[in-house]
Amino acid sequence: MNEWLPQLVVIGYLVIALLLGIAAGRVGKGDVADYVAGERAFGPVVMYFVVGATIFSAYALLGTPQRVVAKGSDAFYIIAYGAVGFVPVFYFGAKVRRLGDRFGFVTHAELVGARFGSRLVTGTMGVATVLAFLPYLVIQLKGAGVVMHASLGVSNSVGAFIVYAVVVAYVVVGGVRGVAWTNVLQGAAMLIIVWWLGLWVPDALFGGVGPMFDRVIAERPDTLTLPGPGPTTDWQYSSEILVSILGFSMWPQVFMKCFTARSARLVQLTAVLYPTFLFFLVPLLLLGYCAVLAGGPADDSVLLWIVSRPELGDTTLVVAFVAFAVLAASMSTGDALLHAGASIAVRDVVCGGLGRPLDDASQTRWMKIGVVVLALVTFGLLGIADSISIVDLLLLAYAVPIQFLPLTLAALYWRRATPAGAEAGLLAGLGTVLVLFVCKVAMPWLYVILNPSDVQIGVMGGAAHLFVLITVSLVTPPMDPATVRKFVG
Amino acid sequence: MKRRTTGAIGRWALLYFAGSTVMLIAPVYTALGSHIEPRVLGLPWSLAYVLAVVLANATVLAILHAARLVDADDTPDEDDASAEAGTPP
Repeated sequence: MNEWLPQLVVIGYLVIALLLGIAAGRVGKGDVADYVAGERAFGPVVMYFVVGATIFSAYALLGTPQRVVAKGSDAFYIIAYGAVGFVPVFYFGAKVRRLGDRFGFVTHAELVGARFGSRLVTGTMGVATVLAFLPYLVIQLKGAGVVMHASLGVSNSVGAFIVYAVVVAYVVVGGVRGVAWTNVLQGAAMLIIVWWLGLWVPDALFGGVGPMFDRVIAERPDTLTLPGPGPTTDWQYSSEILVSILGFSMWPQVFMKCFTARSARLVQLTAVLYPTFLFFLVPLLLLGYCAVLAGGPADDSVLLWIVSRPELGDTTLVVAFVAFAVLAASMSTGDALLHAGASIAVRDVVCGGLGRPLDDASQTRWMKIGVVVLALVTFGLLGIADSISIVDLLLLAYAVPIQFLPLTLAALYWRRATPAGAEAGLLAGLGTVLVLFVCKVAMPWLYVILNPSDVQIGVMGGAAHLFVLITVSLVTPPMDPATVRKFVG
Repeated sequence: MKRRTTGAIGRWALLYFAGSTVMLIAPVYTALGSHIEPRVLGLPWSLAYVLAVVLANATVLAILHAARLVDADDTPDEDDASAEAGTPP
């Protein structure tokens, strides 16, 4: 019986997620406002889990304990940036929700593009977003493949295909409501399983959290403070936090959730409650320190490795629930990325950027096709993921949302910002990021000259963006005050 | 006309959040936070310190929200009535 438990748990979870997501598709009108923004009707429980589960990916579950083993307390940065990362949403989220309701916006780029009356801004943001999603999606598929291999014995690629066939099915049928309903299940499962493991494993192996840290202090004190075993310099640690804070609220799949809340106050409440989800990372850190003491590997297999220790007894069921949690993390991020990516490709790139008029039904149909296409492209990239550096691509991906921050703040709070300033700033920021990325990968000698302090390329792009946005705006004629008042007033 | 812009306290709170960011990075974190002692509930100070900042920020956000100090108006703009829903300007 025991050997079937992992299969039962994993397959049972996938079936429930599929049924739940498809059932969600039976609610609502099925138009664009329903498919992308859930008719702006999400309540507090759904908003809480949608935002929390979307942000916590397979990378957080598998990567946090790995980072503790490899770099010690450098891993605390993931909690540190979350402490501040969602504050911007508290400030601008209510306004974004009201503007969305008033003008029918369902994406980030639509709002910014409309403020500046610029199709170039909408289309460029859309293209950059979809490209930035790809490496992030590959990571989710990789995480799903790893645990499907561990729990069902199938190859990583077959496992990832099975999991993402389920995700595609419920995103196509259920839209954002399918994403949301499954995220409630996935978020609750992650919280319960991870806290259970984080308290049980230290207790079973070392007699509790306190005694475990007693041993870490005695045997590996270097892992509890900076610079740690990495080692991580002060500058690296600080820049990791600052870069993450700047980009955190600008990820379009997160920003778009402001449009789904049933009230502006609820968007703010979600930001208030978000830190409680952040505490879910603490047990992952504890598991990482268990692995430090037990001599675990410093790669993404360390979570499964530590919960499989023979000292824990028969861990078949435990491994099954870890697989469940990792799948939940992978799917809850992957579904949001697929849904947002397809929605953005249609609304921002095709309709907004290229100016191709599509009626409501056509938009929804193309979004559903887009979900399938994006999943297939990601699966194709997974096949060559070993020959290209996903970490390098993630560097590029994380630099993109930072470019949206100056533009979004200018759109919402700076009357003097002009279309020319917005367009030039965005192109300067993204161009800087692209040039530095290409140089870093292909011409390191030139990169050292251009960026001698190795400042994160997103920050370099953001600085260029800000400078150009302000300069060009100040030397070009101001916008019509009536238009500006609708956004900045 | 109703004002829903961020109030003075909300703007001061922004300074608080900027300060809390400084608390989390070098040189303040390395000077005040990156130590093993004192232990808090068995956790090393370096982790307890970060969690304390998270808790403090969450508390400040909760107060701002409960007291409606930041952009708290949930009603539409006065000129919303004349806005054509679904039609960007």
